[in-house]
Amino acid sequence: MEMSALLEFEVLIPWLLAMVFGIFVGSTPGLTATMAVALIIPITYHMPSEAAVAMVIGVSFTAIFAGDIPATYLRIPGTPASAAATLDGHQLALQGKGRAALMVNLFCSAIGGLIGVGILIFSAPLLARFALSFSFFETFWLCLLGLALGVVVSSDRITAAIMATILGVLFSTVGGDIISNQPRYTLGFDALLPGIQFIPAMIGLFGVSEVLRSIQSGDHTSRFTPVQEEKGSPWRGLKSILKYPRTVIQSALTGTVIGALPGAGADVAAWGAYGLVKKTSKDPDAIGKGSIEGVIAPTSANNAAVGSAWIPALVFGIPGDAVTAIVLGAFTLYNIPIGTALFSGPDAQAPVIFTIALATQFLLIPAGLCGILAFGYVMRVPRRILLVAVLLFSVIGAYALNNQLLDVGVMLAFGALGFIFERNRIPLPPLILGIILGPKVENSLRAGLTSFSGDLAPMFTRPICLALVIILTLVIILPLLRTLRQPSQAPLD
Amino acid sequence: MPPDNQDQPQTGAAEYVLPTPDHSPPQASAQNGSTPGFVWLFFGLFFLLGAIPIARPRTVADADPGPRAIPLCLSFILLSAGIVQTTSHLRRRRTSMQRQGKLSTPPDQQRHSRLALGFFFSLWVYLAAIWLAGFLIATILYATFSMRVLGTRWSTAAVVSALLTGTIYLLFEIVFDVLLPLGWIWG
Repeated sequence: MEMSALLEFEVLIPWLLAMVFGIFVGSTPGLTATMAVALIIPITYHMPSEAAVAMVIGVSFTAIFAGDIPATYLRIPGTPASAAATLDGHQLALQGKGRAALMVNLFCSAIGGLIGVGILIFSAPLLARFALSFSFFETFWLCLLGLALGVVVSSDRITAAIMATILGVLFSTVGGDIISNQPRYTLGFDALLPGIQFIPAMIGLFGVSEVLRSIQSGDHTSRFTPVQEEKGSPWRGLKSILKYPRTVIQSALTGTVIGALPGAGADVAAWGAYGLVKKTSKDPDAIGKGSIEGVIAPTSANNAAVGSAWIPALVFGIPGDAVTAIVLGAFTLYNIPIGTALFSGPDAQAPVIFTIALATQFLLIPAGLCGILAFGYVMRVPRRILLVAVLLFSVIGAYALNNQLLDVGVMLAFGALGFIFERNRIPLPPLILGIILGPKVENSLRAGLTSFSGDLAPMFTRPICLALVIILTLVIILPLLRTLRQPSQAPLD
Repeated sequence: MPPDNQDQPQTGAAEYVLPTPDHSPPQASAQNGSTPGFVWLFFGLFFLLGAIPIARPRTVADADPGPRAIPLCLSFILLSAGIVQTTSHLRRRRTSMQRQGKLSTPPDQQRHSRLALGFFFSLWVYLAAIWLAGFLIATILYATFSMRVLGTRWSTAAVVSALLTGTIYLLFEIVFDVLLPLGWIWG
């Protein structure tokens, strides 16, 4: 990828269009940021890699912000990451300050995104240098740690999350074994030899399942009633950001830390920052009743989390959330290497990715403004038409990857699975992490055992391995201890 | 067929509010159904039975556990969890049914659930139709019928379907050179 290409029209135009698409999908209740990214990827297959990366990054940030628009006006989070923003944002909308709250939200999203991306730029190359000392066993433990964190962080249903992870790893074993090329679970389909295609599976999990869920819950017949907007400039809300700089920075940093944990994602980050501001605010009683701090905290955190989710993803190939997982899958399509090769050597492409991520934060402001102003028009598209359009784009998106209908079948099967998971509140991130990290766990373990002639001792005695084992043990034991201390309040499942 | 009440214009204001909101934080209580147990049971059994015939090639080193080891172990764990969860749920359900009698689902919810199920199966029919009649015909027909089933007027559904299909065709076939399926009957 070339840095200079970012200023060319064939990159800039798709980039901006993708951001508008992100605003549209994100601001439509029921259509998630993950779905927006999954649906944009089939369009990016056929574009220059700079445009493709700019489009997926642009969509991921704008869709998270756009989810806050219906959260504020309708009290329906456009994406799960916007759920925390409904509380105070909607109270402000009821007071006629919806647009002002969204302006605060927009600038906090951009600032949060800048902080998240800034920390990504600073920390990722350092971590990449550290990752050079990793052998098979270190990779094995690190991936196992990623899976364990995904289980612990993403849900309070530990058993369901563990089983979802195991199922994800099992799905990753479909296809030819990478070491011996022995076919596994291909059911006689040669097209399954390369394994289950990740992008169709993700389109199914997030696109088709969401459409089915909307129909099943009767959302396609929902109606909206208007609320009145107070007169006056919406820009007046921006002064409040200057009034609470500590809240902005504290929330963005909270979002950054939580976002970097595998499986946590922007939604957990937003709730984490909201909980923290409730404890640290000078006026905690006002939070939840239309406080501007209650808007600043989740919105700064969710976009910061999107940036920081890229830290483990780019360095170790461990995605921080579902959006990053899909983007990682897309990077392999664009032939962009993940890991240390991304940061050093002749093919180092990290600077271009970082530039795109930074520029996206600035482009977010005009795109977000358009989204706030155009929201009334977005809501006029009948959901029954929108849902069918999502289905059609899901089908063509899955097909366009390899021009084969089997991928559409895979997408539909995963759509059903996603629907069952959502209905039963089984967390999806552990399943996705299992699919992504499964091959790494298996191959690094087998390659490590082969290279050490079956000796298990180096798995535990090498310094980094030992440190990772200790962290992994703590990650597993600490939640168990917490559960044992409060047996009546927090059942495991 | 549902009534033609869908395309009423929304009010001009840019802000809306839904009367009965539902937004629970991620920690919301989990539904305690039997489905998760069945899911683990089904996939555990599928992957366990599929792991048995995986052969260990001679080229694999002695220290390598082979291509079957991890699928076999994991599918066994999944199957065991499925059995435990399903049996404990069935036992719980029997007890609660004896105490409370059978709980009924509201008719509206039943109708929507049937609609979602029908939609899912219609997608497989759509997939078969693409293979048989090609992308253009199958998509226009599928989109029109599915919009109609969701409550859109026939005329609106037909026009929007044609526009959507045309947009997809232009974008993928013309701009991106993706060969959309022509259909078995057209050779």
